[in-house]
Amino acid sequence: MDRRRFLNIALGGACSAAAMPAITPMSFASAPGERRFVAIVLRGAMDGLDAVQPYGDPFLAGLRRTISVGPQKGALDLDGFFALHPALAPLMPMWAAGELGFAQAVSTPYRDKRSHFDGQEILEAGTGDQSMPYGVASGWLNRLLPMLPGATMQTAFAVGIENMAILNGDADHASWAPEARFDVTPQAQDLLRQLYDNDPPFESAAETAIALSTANLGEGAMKVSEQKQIATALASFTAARLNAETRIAAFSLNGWDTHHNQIGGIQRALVQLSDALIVLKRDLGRNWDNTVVMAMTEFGRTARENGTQGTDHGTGGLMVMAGGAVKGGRVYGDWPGLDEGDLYAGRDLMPTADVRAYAGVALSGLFGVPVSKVESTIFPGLIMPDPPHILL
Amino acid sequence: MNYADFALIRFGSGLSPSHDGPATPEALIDSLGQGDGSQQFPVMSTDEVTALYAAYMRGRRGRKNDPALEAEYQKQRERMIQASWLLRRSRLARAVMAPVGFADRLAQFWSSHFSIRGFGAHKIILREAFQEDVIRAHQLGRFADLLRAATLHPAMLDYLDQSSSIGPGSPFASRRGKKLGLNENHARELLELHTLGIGDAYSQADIRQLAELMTGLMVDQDGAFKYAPQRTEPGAETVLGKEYGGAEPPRLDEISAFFDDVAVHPATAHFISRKLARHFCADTPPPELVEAMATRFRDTGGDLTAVYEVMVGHRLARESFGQKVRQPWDLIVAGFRSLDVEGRTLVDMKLSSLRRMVMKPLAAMGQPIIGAPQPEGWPEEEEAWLTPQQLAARIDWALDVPSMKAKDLPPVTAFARTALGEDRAAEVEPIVRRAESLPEAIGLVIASPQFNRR
Repeated sequence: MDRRRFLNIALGGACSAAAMPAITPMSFASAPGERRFVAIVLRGAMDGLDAVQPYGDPFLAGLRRTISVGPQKGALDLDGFFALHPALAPLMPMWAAGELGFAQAVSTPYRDKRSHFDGQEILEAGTGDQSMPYGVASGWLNRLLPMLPGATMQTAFAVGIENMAILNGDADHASWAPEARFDVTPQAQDLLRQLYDNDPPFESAAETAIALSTANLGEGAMKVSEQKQIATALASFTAARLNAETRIAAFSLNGWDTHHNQIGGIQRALVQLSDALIVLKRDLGRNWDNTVVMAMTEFGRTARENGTQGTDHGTGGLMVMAGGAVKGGRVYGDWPGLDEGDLYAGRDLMPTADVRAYAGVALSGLFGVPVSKVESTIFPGLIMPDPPHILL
Repeated sequence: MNYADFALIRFGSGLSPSHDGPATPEALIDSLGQGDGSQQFPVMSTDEVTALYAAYMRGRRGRKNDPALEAEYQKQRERMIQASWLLRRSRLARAVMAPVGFADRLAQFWSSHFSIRGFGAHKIILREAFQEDVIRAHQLGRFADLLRAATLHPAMLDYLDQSSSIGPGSPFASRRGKKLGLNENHARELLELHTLGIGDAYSQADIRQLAELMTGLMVDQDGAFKYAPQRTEPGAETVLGKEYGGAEPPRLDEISAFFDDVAVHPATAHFISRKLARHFCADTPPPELVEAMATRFRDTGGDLTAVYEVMVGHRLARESFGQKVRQPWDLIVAGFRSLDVEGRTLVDMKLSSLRRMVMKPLAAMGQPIIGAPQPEGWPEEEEAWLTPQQLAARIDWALDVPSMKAKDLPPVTAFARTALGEDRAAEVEPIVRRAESLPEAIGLVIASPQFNRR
């Protein structure tokens, strides 16, 4: 093909794309396909038994008095056994449309110490190692990137001020915050490059910052700077990236460590989660159909309410999945029961599945990664003999 | 690099045209006992904060029916808000003006170790008082005393929910009809984050037993510490294989006895030493350095100044120079200092300028002034401080801060030497002198890896 002909086709394509809103001009980017995956890390340990309340279990009422009281206190029945916390009520249409599902009684391989710090490290590293030293070499989403054909820097995007260890690693990826700005003259950029030349961590962060400031983040970035709520801003920014080149994104929502007066504490956190999912769906438009969102947390909380109307650190927890590509409208997982003998260490919900198996199924199904690669590279040590069928 | 510059950069507030550093490790340690000019900048004690809050609460409780109390409420509320700004300005000004600043750096370290976060004027000023009465008052003494003061402070009892934890078998719980009981949050974090560190030294059973032992520690309705024996779980508890408590009536010193023991536990000696070395020397500190510090910790029963002494004089602290990235607060302190910004300027500057020059940049760099988001405190590994968006915020601030001295900027060659020391200035100066303006050249020095590392 000669150059003139190529240009004609490219221009013609761009023109017709503009006339056809269904195809955005971004479709021409070399990103690997149209499927999208969003990981939301819920930091502080979400109480899954309160978010999705197993009111059909006869032992729940004996364990919890002021929290998780089921439909009689306004929780919304999901399937006759589980009920959704009232703060998540705005998600009911998503549930009804089959675009929202849950996995109950899931966990990472982390056990017994119940430390936020280690729990989050293991969740984001995606390994089974419990004796992890300080600092993790790479996050599991980063290990996915080399398996995606044609991946570029913006194929994967960490969103928010804080470092997302889930995307740390050797594979190039973008990282930016909705409120971040980088407005530096070309001459200063050039001098910064020289200053950082011999310091790799500075050099690579600066290269990304310079690339993102010049790569027209434009409209998406500007729009979200007006958002007051952090969750809404994160979700809106993420959706704008996913509507462009990005196919993998990750951000965190904090505030789940509800030791005390959980009724008030978890309300705020759940509203943030609900807002984030609703904004993702709204802003992704038709791309929502090709999207899987998974919200996961470092561990669950005690089955029993503690002495201060809260819950302490536990084991088995909940994963939230949403998106048009999810087979939702159901609560996945083998329910272990809440009788004294059913609990892990006599106190926590017994985990019956590895949360990584759900993520593994999603990555494998969305991006065509062979299960053997999931088990060996993305989640080393994970075995998925009977993976849950969570994708449409 | 001479020891004086090394000490100011690595252990102090940074280089300054107004201060020479300590020439020897001994002089650095001696600087801890010398006045740091803090008298110029106001601080509040916990008692003062409590008195202010008590007056505020008196007004708040009665204000519906009493105009005098309404006025009192408004007045005290305004005083707390004013204090919340003033105390944070003071802390910044002290660090900038300190001759060496090692005490300020240690206070930052220990405030992250005993991390507290709180929104609202009362919690903000209580946290500042915590830095004063707990951290600064005890960070040079025995770790046991620091631990006790931190654990019993109302800001900590509130933050880690200890105040609401009640012995299920206590007289208080049985008098009230409804179910009251334990909250294990503080007990867990005390073992995991404050003393032994995550590992094999304790079990879930120890956490439950310690939570029972700690019942009775609370904050009263005016925000003051209180020991309430009627909330204490009856009987003795076994923590880490030893029995504590069980006296009738229960006594606070029974809990204190546990603090004394856990503070000198070998796991604590190692955990604290490693954490100090991680903060001051390297994300992965040399085991030999950590062991030398831990040995001193064990030999002295947790004398913290003795442990610092080993660190600041150690060959490996010197050899690992430059491996740490300055955390945002420290970067801002060092930046102001390098430009010879006066502490008074920081105390007096307009709130809008303070937000632009301090509050917003801190948040954008990942270290909001309100405190760490989780009880783990601030991360140490450099990846956590060098995301592209955080580095963009560092650069943005570096290029903005010379405007504080707009009419009074030194030549770039002199500034680079002041800010970085002779050797490192030579690496940076040939590049930054090609900037389009003097403020930009100076900003680039502050944005350089040499200035951002210590």
